[in-house]
Amino acid sequence: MEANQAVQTNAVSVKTKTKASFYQIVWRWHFYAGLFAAPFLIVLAISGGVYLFKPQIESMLYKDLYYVEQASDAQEATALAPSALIHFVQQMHPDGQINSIMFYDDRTRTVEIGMTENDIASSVFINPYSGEVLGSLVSGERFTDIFVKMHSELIIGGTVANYLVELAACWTVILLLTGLYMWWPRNRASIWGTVLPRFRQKGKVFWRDMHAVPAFWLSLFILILVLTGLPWSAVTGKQISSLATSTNTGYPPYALGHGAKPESTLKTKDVAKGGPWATENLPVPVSMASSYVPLTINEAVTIAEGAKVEKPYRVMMPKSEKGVYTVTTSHTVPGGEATLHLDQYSGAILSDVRYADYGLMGKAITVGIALHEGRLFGLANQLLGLITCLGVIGIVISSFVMWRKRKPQAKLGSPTPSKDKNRTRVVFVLMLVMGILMPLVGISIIVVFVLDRFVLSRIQPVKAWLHGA
Amino acid sequence: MIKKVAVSIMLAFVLISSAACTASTDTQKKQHVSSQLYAEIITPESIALKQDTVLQVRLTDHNEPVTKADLVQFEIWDAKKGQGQEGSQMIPAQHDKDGLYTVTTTFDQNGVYFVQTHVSVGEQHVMPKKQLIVGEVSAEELKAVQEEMLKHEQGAFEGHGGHHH
Repeated sequence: MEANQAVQTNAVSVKTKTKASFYQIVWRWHFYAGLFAAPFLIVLAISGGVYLFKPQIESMLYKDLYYVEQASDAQEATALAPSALIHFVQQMHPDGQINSIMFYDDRTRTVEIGMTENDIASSVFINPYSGEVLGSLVSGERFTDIFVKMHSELIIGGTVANYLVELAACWTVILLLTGLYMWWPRNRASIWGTVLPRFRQKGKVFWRDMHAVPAFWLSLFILILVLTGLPWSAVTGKQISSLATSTNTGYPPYALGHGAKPESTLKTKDVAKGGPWATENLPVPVSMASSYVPLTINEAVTIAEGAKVEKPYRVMMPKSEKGVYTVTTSHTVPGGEATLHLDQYSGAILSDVRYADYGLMGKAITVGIALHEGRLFGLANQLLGLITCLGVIGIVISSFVMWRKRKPQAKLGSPTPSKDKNRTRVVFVLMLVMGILMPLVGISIIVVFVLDRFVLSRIQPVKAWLHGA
Repeated sequence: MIKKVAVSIMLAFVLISSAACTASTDTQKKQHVSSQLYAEIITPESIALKQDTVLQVRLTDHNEPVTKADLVQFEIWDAKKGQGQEGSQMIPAQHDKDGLYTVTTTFDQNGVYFVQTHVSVGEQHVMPKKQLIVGEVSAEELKAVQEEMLKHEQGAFEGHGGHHH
């Protein structure tokens, strides 16, 4: 009986000790992860928060280019032939090569013609009823393009920046998991300090609640934003797409307009020069008595409409004699996606892939991207995204305040390491498991570990500053 | 307790992530549309004025001759006049044998012509077109015709003219 009691007491104290040391270890991970991820999270939240409202912002900024002047006329008027629109643009830009033409589902929208002139890609906007060219925008220089670049490559651009964004995003997952662990009510379940902040408290408790409570509420949304953003990433994104391909659950062949394309069937020797792919719009005389002639853009559009492709869609011109007309839709809400490749000589539909043809993962990624960009369910989706972005900024600020309050003058102010070697190892192994799932995290853990173990630890002042002990 | 929660949260994450790996490897339900219908327009080496001229189109689907096409029509127009209701002549073709469909027509004037076959087989449609030169046409004439053709082409959509108001 007595022995039993002793065991019980012992068990309780071990349990408490376990909690404390695990908390200590997890806190340290959370601290270093946060220190790294915080600046990126701020940049991602600000740029993402702006980019969410791209449709509204651009409609306002580029109103004169995007919309025809007499909106009422647009209801009555009949659009000119696509070839006529291209002809007008070509007249204004004789050296420009027309690459694509985009039709919107809004009758008051202008038609957007993609063009390359002197190696500069731009969009020319033309009133489809009058043929008046309203102006052009250089690709990648629209207002929201800056925010996309900030969001995906931190403006500096390149692979390194792209990797850094991915690394920060993956570490955010770890921040969420470790944060939720620390948020979990330890002593007694109370709504104060868990689901509601203790406003009356001051100092550390107040700021802790200002950090942990909103973070708890937003954790699911932040996780969703990170996960739906990963298909874009260089390392994890590639893994996701190879997983989708290997399980045959991704996109069918030729599903994406910018990917591989089938070829038009004709041998080039049978073809008249001067197709839509040629730099000159004007056919060159041919010596052959009879030769195949590429279909016009008008015929390509008629075929696309006949195949029940709904606006908004873009038709890309064949790029060579063996090229195809490629039709891609750009619906805001997933479901209406279509990518068609048309033989430029016969008009045969060489490939027609719709949303319904996508595999399970292809569909999931498509919906995920729409959700990430705030397109899935209109304004509510945009607002949810915005709240999450603002929340992330707030969470970073409150964490910064907490850190400054705790931080000693001469040290980094990191939580003291646990003396429990075993539990430290358990958490380390768990982190390595995460590192396998998110390779960049794994690599960064190993790099930091090696650096810390073999370099930084040997420099006493650095060690003292960094580790706080 | 806490340890269990932490471990189970992480495990859940691992499981969810790896669930995708073992997810059903069902083959695609539906093979997406991919047309294999091919129409080869066969025209004489040279075309003489005011004589019966035979134009043919050979239809194959997956390299097999198509003997029961739903629609095979030849549309012929003078490049100078342009394609359209006034300028085009539409001739239904007859099936000879082995997927070879034929029309007979005559050309009354020198010049550049277009012949386009409109073919429907079930859900598939193809409409290849060829340029024909009838009689003697000089290079300048050819160029002029082709410039003219470009203008016609631009106005031909939805039957509306294509210039500034």
